[in-house]
Amino acid sequence: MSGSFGSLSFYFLLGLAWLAWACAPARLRPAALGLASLAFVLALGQPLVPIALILLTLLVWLAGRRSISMGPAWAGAGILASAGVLLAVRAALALGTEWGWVSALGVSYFTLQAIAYLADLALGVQAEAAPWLDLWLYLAWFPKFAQGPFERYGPFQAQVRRSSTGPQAEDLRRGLLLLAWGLFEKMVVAERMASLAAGAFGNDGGGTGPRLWAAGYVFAVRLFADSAGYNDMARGASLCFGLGLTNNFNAPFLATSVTDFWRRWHISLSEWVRDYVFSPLQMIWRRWPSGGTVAAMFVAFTAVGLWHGTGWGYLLMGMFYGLCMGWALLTRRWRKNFWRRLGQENGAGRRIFDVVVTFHLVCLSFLFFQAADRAGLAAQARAAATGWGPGWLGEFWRGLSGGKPDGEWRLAWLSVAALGLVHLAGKRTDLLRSPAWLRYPSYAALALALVFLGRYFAATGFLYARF
Amino acid sequence: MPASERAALKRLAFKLGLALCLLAALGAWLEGEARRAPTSFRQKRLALEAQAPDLQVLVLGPSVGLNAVDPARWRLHGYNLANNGQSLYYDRALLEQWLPRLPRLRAVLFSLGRPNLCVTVTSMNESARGFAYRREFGIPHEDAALRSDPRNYSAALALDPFKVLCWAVNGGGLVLSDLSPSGWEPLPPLDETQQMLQLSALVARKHADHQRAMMVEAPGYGLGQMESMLALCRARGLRAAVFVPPVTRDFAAQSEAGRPAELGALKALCRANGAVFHDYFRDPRFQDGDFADVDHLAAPAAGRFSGILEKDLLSGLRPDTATR
Repeated sequence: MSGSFGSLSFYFLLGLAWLAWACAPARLRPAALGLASLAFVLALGQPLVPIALILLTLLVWLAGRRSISMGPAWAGAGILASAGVLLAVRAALALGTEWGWVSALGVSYFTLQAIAYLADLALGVQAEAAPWLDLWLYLAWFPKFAQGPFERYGPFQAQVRRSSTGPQAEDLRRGLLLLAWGLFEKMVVAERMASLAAGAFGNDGGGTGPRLWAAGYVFAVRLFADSAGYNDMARGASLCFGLGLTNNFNAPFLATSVTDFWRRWHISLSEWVRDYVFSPLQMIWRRWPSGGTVAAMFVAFTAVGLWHGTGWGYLLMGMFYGLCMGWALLTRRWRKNFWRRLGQENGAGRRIFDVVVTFHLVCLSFLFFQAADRAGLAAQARAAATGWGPGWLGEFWRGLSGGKPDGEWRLAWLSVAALGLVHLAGKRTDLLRSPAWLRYPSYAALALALVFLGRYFAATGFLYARF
Repeated sequence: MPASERAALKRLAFKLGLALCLLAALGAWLEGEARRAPTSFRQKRLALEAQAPDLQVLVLGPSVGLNAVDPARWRLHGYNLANNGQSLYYDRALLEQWLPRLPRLRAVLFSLGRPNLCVTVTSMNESARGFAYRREFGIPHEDAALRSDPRNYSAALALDPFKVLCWAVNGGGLVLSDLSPSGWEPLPPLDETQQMLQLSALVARKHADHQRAMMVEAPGYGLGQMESMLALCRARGLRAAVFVPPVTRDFAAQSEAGRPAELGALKALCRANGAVFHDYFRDPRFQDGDFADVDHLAAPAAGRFSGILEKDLLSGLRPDTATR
């Protein structure tokens, strides 16, 4: 995970960048942030990456300026060019091109943010073209460079202006806590669950239906901890510089429908898709009210699937979500009547049922995600049909424990319980504002968990960084 | 920046410094405990240092040698320096390091597991073992990319801080080898039920592990390491013997592909360097009940096998009575 939150060199760079930013005069602080991002990109050790990113930024900057002075067609051209770069990279990777530097590019995050900026200019949401340095900072800000979240230029620019005032103790405290918590999510929870998932998916050649079912749970938790971990680290590192980034996850496994799930999971991606794919399509197809919305949802979520990659698993995942949402929309009235007849229109029973069903649909979609390609999907389909004999419960249990020794799987699930508790408690309590008897033991517990339970050397890399 | 903000930042810096000092103290304690842990590498280094002046036979190789050879059964004073996952790179480095310190050495026995010619410690996914060689014997990691890894310099990190904590607090956590004074690790045999349940499952898994670990281009690398070691022995006038320990019948059948070519190259190398070669891979004197798993002899059979080795590989060498 060189160059990312998993490497020591990243923290060294982060410390240096913070010192440079804190010591710089107010007017030079944005430049210090821009230079820090350039240093981060250079530290990836792929000479073509900084060149490609600077050229892309230049192209978007020019398109933006021309769009203001000569009309939105220029923004459209910039959008087409950015989308072209993204598609070309995706196609090249799908064809098996071995461009090591491309995978370090964080290309989809970079290009989708560029598209958002140009679209906002064309639509008049953004009134002025960005200066080059500000645009570079927006597109390549190093904590969010590899894995998001997707930001919008306007709000991000406001954050940059705010950060020019210099370091704030409150931001630093909150930032460091988020950074440490993200590290816990990634290195303790996600990495331990990754080890269970490897066993659960049957690396020893013994994948079965019940084990695959359990593997769905294990992988879902792993994916959440991995992605939320990166997001919290990116938010924490940014907050140390006074920049607030989007919180991408809001208790997604408590969602009551697939639509609700996407309001809580990778929120900045969902919002991007809603604003720049779904809404325009819905507008175009507005003559067919329900049909148009369903079709727009289907296309938008198929695009989300393909954003992850060109494998069949990703495509199926996207289409699956599109179908689920379409089904939910078309049967909304029927389901409402059904629950009303049971006296549970807004009751706890309906809520629990919805959460459980949604969670299982999500786990199923993650199995497509995990399989990624056609061979993987076929292997999973074959495995799913086996193992339903008398010993199925044992197999299911083997999936949950990943076939690991007692100490290992217990620690993994214990860390998941801690993760869940903190996420739930975090909605009600602000640790920084809580009394010292709660605050300091919590800090100590977090520090000790990081020291003793982190799997730093077996780390698998961030799952979403490959998109 | 307002004075109140500056004061708040100073307070935060002080608290962070204090927390880091506490963590550093904890880390130092943990490191001290980890360095005391009697890992097999540490046990071997200490035993070898103590026995070096009198040692006449040295055994090298991976776990198949570690579990199969008990030099205490020999009339000559031997020491088993084989270890789990010890690749030929470490065999060679250990031999180069210790040859000048073993004045009475007469013979070196090299045990070879099925994939040994084709693996490095990194390809075996057991690279953590490489760190122990650096700490205990000063041998740089086989994988040059891992030489700057912090685990090279911290026993606590290499052993896993949580496991070290458990070990320091209640003696559990670390899996530590129970080595005999001659460096041998005796393994218990499987009972009949275990044999039935475990051996068949293990055959496929172990074979798959070996296949994963073997690198296509590597036999040349392994043969190169072996050639250097045989040349070192020849230069010192030592008897050198290469042997392949026995495995279970099913495992032998699974592992046959590619083996004849490897053996041919190995035999030619031994001939060219005046070394003895013995292949016990399918030795009928050993049955499934003699094994602790598919390719590791259990203690009773290891005793018998050590006797066979003495007869086959060490015959003609007279014990130095002054040292035994």
